[in-house]
Amino acid sequence: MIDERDFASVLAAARVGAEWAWALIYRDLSPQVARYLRAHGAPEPDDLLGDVFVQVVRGLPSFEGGSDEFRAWVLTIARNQLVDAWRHDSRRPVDPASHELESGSWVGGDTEDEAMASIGDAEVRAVVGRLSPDQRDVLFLRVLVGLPIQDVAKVVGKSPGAVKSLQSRAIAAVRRQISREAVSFWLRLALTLLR
Amino acid sequence: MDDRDIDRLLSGTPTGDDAANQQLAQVLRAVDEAYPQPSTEGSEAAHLAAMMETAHLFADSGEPAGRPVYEAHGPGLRASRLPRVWRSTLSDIWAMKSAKVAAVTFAAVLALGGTAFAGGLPAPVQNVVATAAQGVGITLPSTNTLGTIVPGDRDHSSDETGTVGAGHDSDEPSGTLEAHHGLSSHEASDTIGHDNGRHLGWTNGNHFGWYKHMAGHDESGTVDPSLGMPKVKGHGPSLIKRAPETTPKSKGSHGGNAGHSASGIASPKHDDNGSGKGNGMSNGMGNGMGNGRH
Repeated sequence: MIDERDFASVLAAARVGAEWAWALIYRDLSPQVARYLRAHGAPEPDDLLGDVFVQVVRGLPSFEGGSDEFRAWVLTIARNQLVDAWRHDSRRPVDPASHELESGSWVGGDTEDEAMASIGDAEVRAVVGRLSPDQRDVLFLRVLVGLPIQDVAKVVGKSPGAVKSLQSRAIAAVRRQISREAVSFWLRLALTLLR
Repeated sequence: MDDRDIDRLLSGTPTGDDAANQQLAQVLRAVDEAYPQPSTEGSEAAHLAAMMETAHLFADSGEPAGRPVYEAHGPGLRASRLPRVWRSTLSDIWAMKSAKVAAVTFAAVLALGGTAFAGGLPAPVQNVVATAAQGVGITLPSTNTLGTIVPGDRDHSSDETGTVGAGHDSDEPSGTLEAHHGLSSHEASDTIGHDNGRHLGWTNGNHFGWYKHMAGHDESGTVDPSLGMPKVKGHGPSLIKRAPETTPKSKGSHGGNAGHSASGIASPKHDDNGSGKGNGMSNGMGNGMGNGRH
């Protein structure tokens, strides 16, 4: 991650079109952005990632702030691109098999570790998938990207209080699901291990 | 559960000994693991190339992504004060050849018209322009074939010139006005320029005789500065302004003066030889007629 002191010089270099600065920014932020996009099941996440950073280049002249604000701003662009992609994708017929493969819900292999990973990820994704879109969004930004409340509020366009409320409801929903499905969860885990 | 507890839970650390909290922390940690951070190295080159291309295209279109380092901080500046729509529209219009031709033509017409209005074009061109402009109801100063423009007398200069020029068969100086002499020249033109070849002998002779008489004209054709009259070269037809309307009556009254100056030239050669009535009459008539033939 780019240090706050170095960030100013990197951003200044990016403003004058220095490729090394853009490469630094890309390497610093692209994994988080890609993770966020994939977690949301973005269609063609690699292409979307490229679009996000192209938009960052276009919008940089109007950006003001430090590294934290910059990260939140980039993720705001990513979120907007994701919404656009969903809208565009909803107008096209989707191939369910390819979509399932893209989302990572199908994992091949028959070793024990792979089975554990498959069940664990699947169960976790199922739990997260039952959250409301806003709760899920806040949870991803907080857990996967590691943004503080204030930055999440900027990204999702809500007040920090609203984000806190969404976060609390998301955790409560996860807790309820765990207690409700605990039995079946552990039973299926045990069955898989016994196979 | 306060904000700090939630932060700890979200990072996968249980907030207490409670089994439910530990399980919750475990699930949230699993969320972090369920969505692994992908590697973007494979697409880095392509994405960076697209970013740099965008930066350059953006700068070429007048919205620079890059700018000098000393202006690196702060909001971006527009390359033009014009709105983007106007910029693109104007550039589209200017891209057309016809627009360029029209602009050049307009500039040429503007420059030519201004110069023509000021009477600053060369005489032949000025005449052509004035004639053309007259066809559309615009009066511009022009020169005729007999003389040059008298600045400051624009309204009359189209057919009333201040000097004697072509048609004046004389080796003498044609009597060009020196400068803005402050006196209207058109009356002189009436008597000399305009009527040159027909009545020049009579009228000019009479006027000039009178002029010399009134202004104390010497034989060189210059005006006595002491009389407050502007100096003219050669003969001074333009100074005949104050010639009385009764010039026919004065015909011959000044004898030789009238006669010799009937050619329109204040000739330094001739003597003030005409004091007699008859002589003045004959000289005046003779020279006048002779000049008229010219």
